[in-house]
Amino acid sequence: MSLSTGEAYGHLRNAAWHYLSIDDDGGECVLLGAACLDVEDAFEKAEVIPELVQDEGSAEAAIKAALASLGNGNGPLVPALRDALVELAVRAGVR
Amino acid sequence: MTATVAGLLDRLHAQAFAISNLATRPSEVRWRAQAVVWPRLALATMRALNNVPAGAATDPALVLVDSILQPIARNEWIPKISDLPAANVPPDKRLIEMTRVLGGIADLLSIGLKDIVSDSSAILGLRSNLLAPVMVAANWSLATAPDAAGNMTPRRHLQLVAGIGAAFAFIPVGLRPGQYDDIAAVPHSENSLDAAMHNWLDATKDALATRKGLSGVSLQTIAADLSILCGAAAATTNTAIALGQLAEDRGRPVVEAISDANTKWREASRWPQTIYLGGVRDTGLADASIQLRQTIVDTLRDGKSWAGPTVIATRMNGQDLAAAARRTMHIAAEAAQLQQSAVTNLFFGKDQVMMASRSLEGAAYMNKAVFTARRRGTWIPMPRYEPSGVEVYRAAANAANATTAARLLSVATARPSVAPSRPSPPTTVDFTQGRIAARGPTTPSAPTQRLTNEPPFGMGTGGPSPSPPGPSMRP
Repeated sequence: MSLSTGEAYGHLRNAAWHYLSIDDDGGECVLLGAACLDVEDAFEKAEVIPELVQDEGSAEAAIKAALASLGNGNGPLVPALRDALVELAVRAGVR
Repeated sequence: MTATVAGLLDRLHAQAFAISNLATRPSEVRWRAQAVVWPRLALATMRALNNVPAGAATDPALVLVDSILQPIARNEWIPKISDLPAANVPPDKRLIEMTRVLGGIADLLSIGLKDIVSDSSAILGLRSNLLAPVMVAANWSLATAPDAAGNMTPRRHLQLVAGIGAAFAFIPVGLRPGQYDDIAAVPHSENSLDAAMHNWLDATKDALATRKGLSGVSLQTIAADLSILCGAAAATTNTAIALGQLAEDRGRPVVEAISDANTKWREASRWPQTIYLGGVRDTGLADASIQLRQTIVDTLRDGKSWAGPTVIATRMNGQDLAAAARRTMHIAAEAAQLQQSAVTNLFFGKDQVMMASRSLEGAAYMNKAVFTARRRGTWIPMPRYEPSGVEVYRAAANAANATTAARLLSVATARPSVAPSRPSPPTTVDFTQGRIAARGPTTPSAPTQRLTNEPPFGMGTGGPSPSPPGPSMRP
């Protein structure tokens, strides 16, 4: 796996952190945080090691950054990781 | 379909009520049909009573009931079949059905409630709910048994059963509900919130017991799911309050406590970017977690917030929502303890969590390997008691404690809103005219009059009408 997949994983971890930090009455953010963890599991299955990356400031920005990082990635599992990230982005309203 | 103790009690009492409304007259054939079932009925009743968690080591009431039911259960209460003329009579179906339901209740009660202190008023309430229908059955069989010499002994046994049952039947219905009513057997294949929660708990136990090594994603997922479970319990309790199933003053503190646990698990589920424990999630946990969240969304949510009370009530198919919330908290509390133990082992045991080398502080840790890692920006093993690790441990401990507290408050809502006034045993006595006498009213109290004058709590006894008082005995 390339460095960019590691960066994408790093941004994804930041997105989970942000979602799980938001105290909303509706409880939507914790569900989105759990969805981030589902995608993190996909990265673990692909044996990607996360990179320490700059915090983008919000969950949505972190997901965008993860998608951007993955855009530069290559490897047989990258399309599957991208699909999982895109699904998360759609659910989070980023796409 | 999920079977609960409360649901089976509903069935048992409905069957008893149906029996109580039957016209009865003595019939040797029908009596034989009932008598053949009684040993099983007595055994099932004893099993159920013995499976109610006892409040004390010695339990005189249970000993008494046991001594009355044992001879029937052992079939020592009736002359042997060989002593009686042969009769090919099928067992009575209604008593068989009662026996089955009592057996089902006994099985459910054997599951018990983990880490819940036994509640004496709940025990009393459950016993009365078990024995009142048995009293009805005993009275029905008494009315059916011909008053023949051969039936004298079994009739006497049944009179004892009816008598002890009547004593328990006097506990008012409103004082009987308790925590044990919530115990449920959940078919894991059904599409329900209960099934999803049980499957998730089983998967969580398996994942946390793995010898292959826990992953950070597993622990974070369990914590996030616990937060979602607490959110679901709070939403269900809120709905129970809104629909009048739970009084506002009793339910509101529970909602607040569960919401606190919800917040704390959310905090425990987020790990800082500088801590990392690699590895994939257990496949069973991943599937069960996704299924749990989807079921909660389908059942309790509407868009991006919790659904309204009427929507939730409709989707829950008329379930007792306060009971559903309590079951959720039982599951959450059990998983919470396991998760906290796992996190404790992780950060203070032999498991190796990684941390970002550049976030490591403290001159004591600095060596050539650490300097190299810091230059490259890679992960290094986290030293034990490193503050960020302690912080994650503390968050899990706080969340587990909050969940235990919320569960206790939630369980308390299973009790009746008014605490039953329990007569104290006659430990104090009067010494009057050279004779010992228990202190208390000398005239019959209202309940005692009800015992002799009317069927308890309107169920009817189905037994013979009380015979007129005989001539008074005078010396």
